[in-house]
Amino acid sequence: MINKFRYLILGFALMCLFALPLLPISAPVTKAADHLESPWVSKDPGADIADLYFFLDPNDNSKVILAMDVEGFVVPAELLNQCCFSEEITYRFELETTGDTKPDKFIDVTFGPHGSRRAPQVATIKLPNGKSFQAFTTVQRQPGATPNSVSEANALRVTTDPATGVSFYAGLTDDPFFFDIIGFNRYVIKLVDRNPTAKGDLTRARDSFAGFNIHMIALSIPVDMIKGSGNIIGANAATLRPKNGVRLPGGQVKGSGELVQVDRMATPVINTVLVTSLARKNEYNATTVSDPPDKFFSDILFTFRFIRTSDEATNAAAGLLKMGDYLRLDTTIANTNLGVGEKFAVTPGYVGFPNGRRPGDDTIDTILYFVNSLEPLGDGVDTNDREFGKVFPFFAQPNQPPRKDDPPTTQF
Amino acid sequence: MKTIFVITIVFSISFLFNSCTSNSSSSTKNQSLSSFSPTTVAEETNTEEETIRFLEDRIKRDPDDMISYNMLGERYLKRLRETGNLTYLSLAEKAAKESTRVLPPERNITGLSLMALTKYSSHEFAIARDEAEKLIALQPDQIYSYQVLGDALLELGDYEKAISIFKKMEKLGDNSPNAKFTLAIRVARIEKLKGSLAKAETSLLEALDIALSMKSPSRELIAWSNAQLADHYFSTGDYNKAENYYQQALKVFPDYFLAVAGLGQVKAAQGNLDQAVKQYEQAVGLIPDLTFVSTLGDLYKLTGKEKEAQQKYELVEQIAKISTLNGVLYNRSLAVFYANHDIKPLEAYTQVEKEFETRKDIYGADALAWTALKAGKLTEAQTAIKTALKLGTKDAKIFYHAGMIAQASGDSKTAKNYLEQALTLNPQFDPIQSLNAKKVLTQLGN
Repeated sequence: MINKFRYLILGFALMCLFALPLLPISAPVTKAADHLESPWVSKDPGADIADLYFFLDPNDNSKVILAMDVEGFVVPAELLNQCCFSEEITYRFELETTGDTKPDKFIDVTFGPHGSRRAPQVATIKLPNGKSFQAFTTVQRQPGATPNSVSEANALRVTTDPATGVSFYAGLTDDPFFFDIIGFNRYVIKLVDRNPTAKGDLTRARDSFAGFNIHMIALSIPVDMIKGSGNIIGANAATLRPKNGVRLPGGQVKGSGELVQVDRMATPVINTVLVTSLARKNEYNATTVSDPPDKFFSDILFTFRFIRTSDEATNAAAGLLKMGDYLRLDTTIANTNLGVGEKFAVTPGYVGFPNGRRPGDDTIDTILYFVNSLEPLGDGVDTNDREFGKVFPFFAQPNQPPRKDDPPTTQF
Repeated sequence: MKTIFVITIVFSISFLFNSCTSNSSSSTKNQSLSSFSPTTVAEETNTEEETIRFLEDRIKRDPDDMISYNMLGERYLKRLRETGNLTYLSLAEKAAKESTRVLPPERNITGLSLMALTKYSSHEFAIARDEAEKLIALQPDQIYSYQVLGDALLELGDYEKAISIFKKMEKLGDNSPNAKFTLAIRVARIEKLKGSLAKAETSLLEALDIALSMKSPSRELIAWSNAQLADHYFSTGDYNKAENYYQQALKVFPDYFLAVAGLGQVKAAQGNLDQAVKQYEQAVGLIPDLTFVSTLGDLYKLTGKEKEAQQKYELVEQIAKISTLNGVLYNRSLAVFYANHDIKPLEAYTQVEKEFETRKDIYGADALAWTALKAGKLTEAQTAIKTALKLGTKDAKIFYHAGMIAQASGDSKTAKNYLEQALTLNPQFDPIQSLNAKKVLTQLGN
């Protein structure tokens, strides 16, 4: 249920930091201690969706790229250990192709057991046409010789299914998202307080995601395979877990029972920015993409009116949700790049978010444009810290651990 | 104060754990430790250090990097659990403070969580409880909020409310391994408090099973889960099983201080005092924990090393008084040490009595009873020991204290009964105190 955008208003910094399955409850030295010191185990990190990307392959517009990333804020030093995807989770892309609110097609990705931290998992990809194929994940085998150097052993491993033409990648990448969580949160706090100095907090220009890695699942799919009668496709990402899990001898987990949604993610504004009350946010997370979309309109309108956004901007933002929370992509609009350096409503010929979402789209500045009554406004972080790839999966290699001879630093 | 009756009713609720039925024994026997080879352990340590350095570097570059403060705080607490080094607790507290300075808790849920955790670790249970209540208000659907609150309430002795919180936690229906582990540990704890040792064992086995099934579990998680089982078996007098699980913990996490000392405890119980001394010397070398030092002193005494024993006893006091934080953390342990060794009886009693004003858990009541007895306050001891026994907890030390108080009260029958219970449950519950229990029981028998 955690996605980055929840941080926007809530400052939910980091459930993702519980990437390690523990945190303690405490303690000190102690055995000595006269109270329980148990590892603190939080949340469901493997199921936390951070972002959804959905765009036409700039090299071949007959293909669409669908990618969701989960379990972020992986520190480079941890990348050798953070190899795996949860074998209990179904990672689902829900596709809406008929112009209503209900998803029409599904792509499910599941992962087999992980034998060791250095061995790849086998992913099974079930396509909307009923076909499926399997592919290995990419695991990081060794740190690069220098920070961010790319070794052959760590190359992103893409599998293309010859029968369907679908390509697949799953493994760690650099976190492609970029924006200043702190500055944005401070801006929002002041905005809600109607503090006229709010915009001053958008000048820090520090990319909160720079240097971190994330677990990425990406597909390159022929547009024709997922398109309906129209040219617009809606996409939503969801993670689901079997209602019941059975542990087999040796620790392997086998799920049973119906799949229950754990998290969902599409338009990167809905829950965190537009739905303001915490109770409503939780309610929003519990709903599915096909629930009535107007259920949260009043929250959205309230938010925009409260912060004195113009009616025009309010209506424009709310309009994004009219047919459910999907990232909608017009497949007839040609795309030639990943959106790096471009700005919504500023760059001529801009074709990105909210028309789908490319890795380089500055989604936060787009959101700020709406919040700022259709006037350009930015957080000062305009591009990702790492250069994107030129071919599928397009995301940058994961950030590598520091070199052994880097000077040690002191505790802060 | 809640009555025994009320508590009994509360505990009798068939709470939790349909999900905790398990095939634990078989799977535990089959637990695979292959992915925790020593090489991996070394790598994990190196990874942790690099991770901390990475995050500290980020903070140097951006002193308002709330995300790194939160991530660092978590890592510091993990290192604290792994090493027992209180420096990490201070660092975690600092990280929590900085995080909540950058953005207020209501907009910084993780910072608030970190603050609650550090307060719990610092034994500031009332503050931890209050912070956890704020967490629940902000995030009513997340189990970890309830975990902190429930744990803090247990430490404060508010068992009824703690159980209701854990029930709410269960009702959230989180089916993830993390949630199941969290619940299983809490069930084990509640069952142990109730005196339902078999159920506690089942839940601890379940927790270990779950931990082993997790995606990339840390060595600390596996070692801790094994050590919990070992502690349980030791407390029920099954020293062979206790040894086995401590050894499992050490396979996963060599030099894990809890297991090193735990194994020493087992060796002492098995009569192998030389090996027990070695284990405790190693444990004290890893971390000069007050209870480790105290037990090592006892073991020196039992092996005729009076001078070394005295040195360790002196060190115990120094450890407790070396810092304010140590004073808070070791307050109760120091008082029990005084009582066990007939040192400063009034000071010990006053110390525990003061703590008991705000922290009314059964172990606090037990410490109060024991120190009261040593301070010559028999009436207070009798009252306190009743509170310590109110949940039906089967703990050899509590039974021993109850027996000694009954003996001092002139109630030989009750004294004999409790001392027999203590020595039946865990014949070697303490290197010196168990000898005393046997001695008194023999006298009573005569």
